[in-house]
Parts: sequence; structure tokens; C-alpha cells
Amino acid sequence: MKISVSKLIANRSNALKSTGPRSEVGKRRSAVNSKKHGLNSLLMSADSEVGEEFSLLVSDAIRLGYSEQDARAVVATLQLGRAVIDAKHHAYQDKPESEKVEALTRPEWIRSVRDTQIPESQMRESDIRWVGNVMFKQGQQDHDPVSQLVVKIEEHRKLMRYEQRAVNQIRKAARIKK
Amino acid sequence: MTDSKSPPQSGYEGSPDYQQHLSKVMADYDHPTGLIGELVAQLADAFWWINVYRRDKEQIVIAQMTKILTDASVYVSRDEARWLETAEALSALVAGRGLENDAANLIEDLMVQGQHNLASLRSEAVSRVLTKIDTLDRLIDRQFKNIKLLMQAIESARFAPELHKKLQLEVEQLELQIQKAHEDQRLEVDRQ
Repeated sequence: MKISVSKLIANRSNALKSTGPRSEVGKRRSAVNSKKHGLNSLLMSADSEVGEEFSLLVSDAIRLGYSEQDARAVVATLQLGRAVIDAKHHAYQDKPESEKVEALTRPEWIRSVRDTQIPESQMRESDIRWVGNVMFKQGQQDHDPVSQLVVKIEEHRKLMRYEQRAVNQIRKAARIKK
Repeated sequence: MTDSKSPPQSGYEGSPDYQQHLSKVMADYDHPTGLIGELVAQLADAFWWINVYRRDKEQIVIAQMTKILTDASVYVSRDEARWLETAEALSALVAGRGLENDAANLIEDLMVQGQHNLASLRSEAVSRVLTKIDTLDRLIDRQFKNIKLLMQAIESARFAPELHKKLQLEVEQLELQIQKAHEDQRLEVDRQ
């Protein structure tokens, strides 16, 4: 189901009145709103991930002949590598149909915004045009296979440096120290 | 992290194509588990992305060619079914496959409207997405580097037990040499 313009405008208008989260849970949740993939923090502290799987892999590494310290290091770098892989696959997923903006023409969008705005939003003509333009551009992008592919490629280009660091760290950590 | 014996997962790891690819690479490495299993799984992922990027390099050109043609045509540009039909026909044409009558007529009409032939259309499309093709080439190159480094890491982990044994033997040998040197020294002192 595509989001209607009136709902979109009402949501935006209500959001502008908001003073932010009040509960502790809400504050914690909104603190990570801008977090994209968390790879930077993983790169900063490569041994922060601890879990059952981590312990199993560390035991396996020790069985192979790594010291406990080296085993922990190599497994931590592998987890970083896996996080990068997850981020890459996530970035390459197609946008769900329900989240796509309808492909109307620019005048159709502007008319639609004008016709469906709620009185509380008190939008000026310039705002209506701006919202109409934004919706038009998004609609075009959501229905243009070239743009969709370009977005995916760009996301992977941005992830490339994390990928490089992760794999270099894996190689370095996997070496047996004499 | 992936283990060849782990239950089916959601997301990309649950995709049948990805699973099939992963199983094939795991089989090539004799189904390793644990640390080496995870290293091989990450290696398989690098191979997976090479295939995806190679496919996308072709796809982005075809999509751009379709966009150029359909933008020139009023009746196709907002019709997604016709868009797909055009893209499929162009893809077949670029691959050198024959077209059925309807598809051939559609392409011919669009080419005439846009004043293109296949070569000029392809070259215009490539020029428009050249930077993205370059990025895809860099991404493919990155995967090859990843493969090289991960293979080295797998070799290190595979030969870790042997290397560990070798190091132990070297240490034992050194200890024996020292013991022997002490013994020889003691015998020499006794003799003197």
C-alpha cells in the first residue's frame, strides 16, 4: 500500500510539533536514529563482540594452534568482516513496493499536495511546490531501474573502505605468530 | 556467521541462489566448519559479488539504453510493462539473440523515434553511465583483492596445526641442543 499525500503531510506536520522522545527507551532508540551500519564502532573496538558463536570460533582457533589472544583477535576480525558483508547485502536489497512513491508527473504531484493538504499544516504555495518537487523526484527514482541500481552501486562504493580494512585485518590476524 | 550445517536463515543467507553458491564453494573446500568454515563463507561472498557486479555492468547499460529509448517515446515512458518489454528486447539484441516480430517492431519504432541505431544507442548509454561502470570495476577489483587475502588467511589457518607442531619440534630441538651443549661442556670439564 502506497502512502497517501495527505497522510504524509499530516505525519510531517505532527512531527514538527514533537519535542522529542520522553521515555528512557525512546531516548535510547532515537540516539541511534542516524546510525547506518555501525561499522566504524566495530573497527574501533574489534574485540567488543562476545557471544556463544564467538566463543565457539575462539575455541576452534585455539584447537588449530592459535594462542588465546590471537584466536580472539582473528575471530573478532571475522565478525567485523561478517558485519561488512551484512551491510553490503542490506544495501543491495530492493526497496519494498509499499515504500515506493507513486510515479506521477511534477504538476500532478504539486496538484495532489495542494488538494490533499490538511488545514493544520498551513502550507504556503512555495512549500507546496517544494513538497511536490521532492515527491516527484523520489517517485522518478523509485520507478527508474537505472537510478535504483546507481543507488546500490554508490552504497557499495561507500562501504568499500570498510571492506578493505576488514579483510586486511583478517589476513593480518590469521597469521601464526612465531 | 555462516556454518554449512546451520539451519536456513532469513535475508540474503536464506536466498536459494546464495545458498547454492555458498554450498558449491564450501564443497570445493571439503565442507570446512568453525573458523575455516567462516573464512571460506566470506571467500564465497567475494565470489558472489563478482558475479553480481559483472551482471550489473551489463544491466546498467541495458537499463540506460532503455531509458534513452523510452524517454524519447511518450507512450512507453510511463508504462512499466512496456519498459520491461523494451529492456528484454534490447538485452536479447545486445546478446545477439533473435527477436520475435512484436519485439522487433517495438525496437524498430523506438529507434526511429529516437534517431538511433544499436551501436549509437549503446555508445550513448555507456557514456552516460561511465562513472558507474568505473565504480563497478573498482568493486570487482576489490573483490579480487579480498579473495587473495582471504585465501592467504585460509592457508594460514589450515596449516596452523602443522606450523604449531613444527614450532614445537623446533623448540624441543633447541632445548636438546642446549642440553647437549651443557653435557658436552660438563664432560669437557671432567676430562680436563
